[in-house]
Parts: sequence; C-alpha cells; structure tokens
Amino acid sequence: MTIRSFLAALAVTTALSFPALAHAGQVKLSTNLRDYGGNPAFLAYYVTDASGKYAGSLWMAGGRTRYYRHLSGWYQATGGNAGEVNGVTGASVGSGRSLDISLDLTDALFDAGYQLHIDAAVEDMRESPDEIVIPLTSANAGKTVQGRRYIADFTFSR
Amino acid sequence: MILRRLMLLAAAGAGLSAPLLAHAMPLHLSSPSGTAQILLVDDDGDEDEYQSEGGDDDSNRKANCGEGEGEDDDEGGCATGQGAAPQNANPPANGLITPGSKPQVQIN
Repeated sequence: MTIRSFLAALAVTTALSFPALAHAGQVKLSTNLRDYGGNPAFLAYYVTDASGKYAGSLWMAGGRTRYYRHLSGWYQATGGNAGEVNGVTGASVGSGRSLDISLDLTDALFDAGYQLHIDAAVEDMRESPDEIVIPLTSANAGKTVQGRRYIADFTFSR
Repeated sequence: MILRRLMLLAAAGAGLSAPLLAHAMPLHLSSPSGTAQILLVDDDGDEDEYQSEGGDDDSNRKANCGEGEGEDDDEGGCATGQGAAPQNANPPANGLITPGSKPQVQIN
C-alpha cells in the first residue's frame, strides 16, 4: 500500500513537470514591407485577448514617442504610454525592407483567443491601424498574411 | 530498500518540479495604465519634443530618422541595415515576454 502511494506521488510530480517545461518558447515575427516609396515606417506590435482587451506590446519599430499617436490602435489601447514598449523598441523600418523579431513568448498566448495586431504609420502618409490582425493559433503559425497598405506580408513561426 | 528508492525518486521528482514551476507566468491582463513604468524610449533630446503636430508642421518632416536625413531614410530604418538594439532595459513585465529574455531583431 505504501509503495503504491509513493508510485502515485511520483506520477503526480512527473505529470506536474511536463507542463512547466513547455511554458514559453521562441517566436519569430517576420514582416516584409512594400516598396511604398516613403520614409521608414513605425510599426507597433501588440496583443489583445479574447475579449479584445489590450494585453501587452511585443515590439515597437520607431523610437520617437511623439509619433506614437499615429499608431492609433496601439495609442488608443495604451494611452500612448511609452513604458509599454520600454525594452522592446528599435528602429523604424525602411520602404521595401524586412523586419525579423525573435521573442521568448509565453505559450499561454497561443490557442487561447489572443490576437496579434500590427499598426503602421509613415510620415506624411496615411495611418494604417490594424494593418495586420492575426489570431495567435497553432494553425496560423507559418501562414503568410497580406498587409493592407505598407506591409506586404507577415508571418509568425514557433 | 525498494521503499527507500521510491522515496528518493519522489523527492527527486518534486525537486525537479519546484524550479520549473517557478518559471510559470500567469498572464497579467491588467489595463495598460496599470503598469507603472514611465521610462521614455525617446531619449534623443530634441528641443521640439513637446511641439504640437497639428497640420503639416516641421516636426512631421523629422519623423522616424531625425532631421535632415531626407531620402537617406531608406537605409534600413534609422541607421545601418541592422535593427537598432533594444534599450538596455528589460522587456516590459506584461506576462507575454519571458522576464530577462532579450528580443533579437534584424532589419534587412
């Protein structure tokens, strides 16, 4: 009986270990811009949950906070709080260029109703909120999504 | 003897589980204003930092890559062909990005 109890305890501890091992992983976000002929684009990558509520930012391409208002979806969700992208901000991306971002993201983001949004803005050109909106599902990993204005296509992979 | 081995195995299993479980990251779904970080990423020190952007003012012309860059803006973002390195700060603690991890970025 005692041995059986220990076997059960062993099974439980082992079972608990496996989900913990799969808690996060590298995710690559690949964005190709169209050759739109303007200045480099600001791009805001952020996530909303199943109810459409802002969950957090993943990347901001473009460092000048005073232009963040033109990333209107992100700006509305965050109130323009630059702290949301502190540590995840880089250069804006030139016309016709591509941006690859690799992040260590929690697995809880996937197949749980979350959506990745990309807002785009270019100086003296029209704003493009929600240029990309893609549900973060395993089925969508590796699928290429077309952008509407500045982004030619986008793919995420795990 | 068998009992002792099983006890050791159970202890080892629990020992392995504890640090792994400590990495679990519940999603933090509070509103954006709930985070208290007020570190500005725009540290270029422009004197027109607080200038209004109404209409077609000059500040708009300096967007993205700084004054006087004009058509050189196409040189891969704001500088070389590489993506700018993220700030020294860690990623935001939003429950999405693993704490302490550093994003890898490249512009081609």
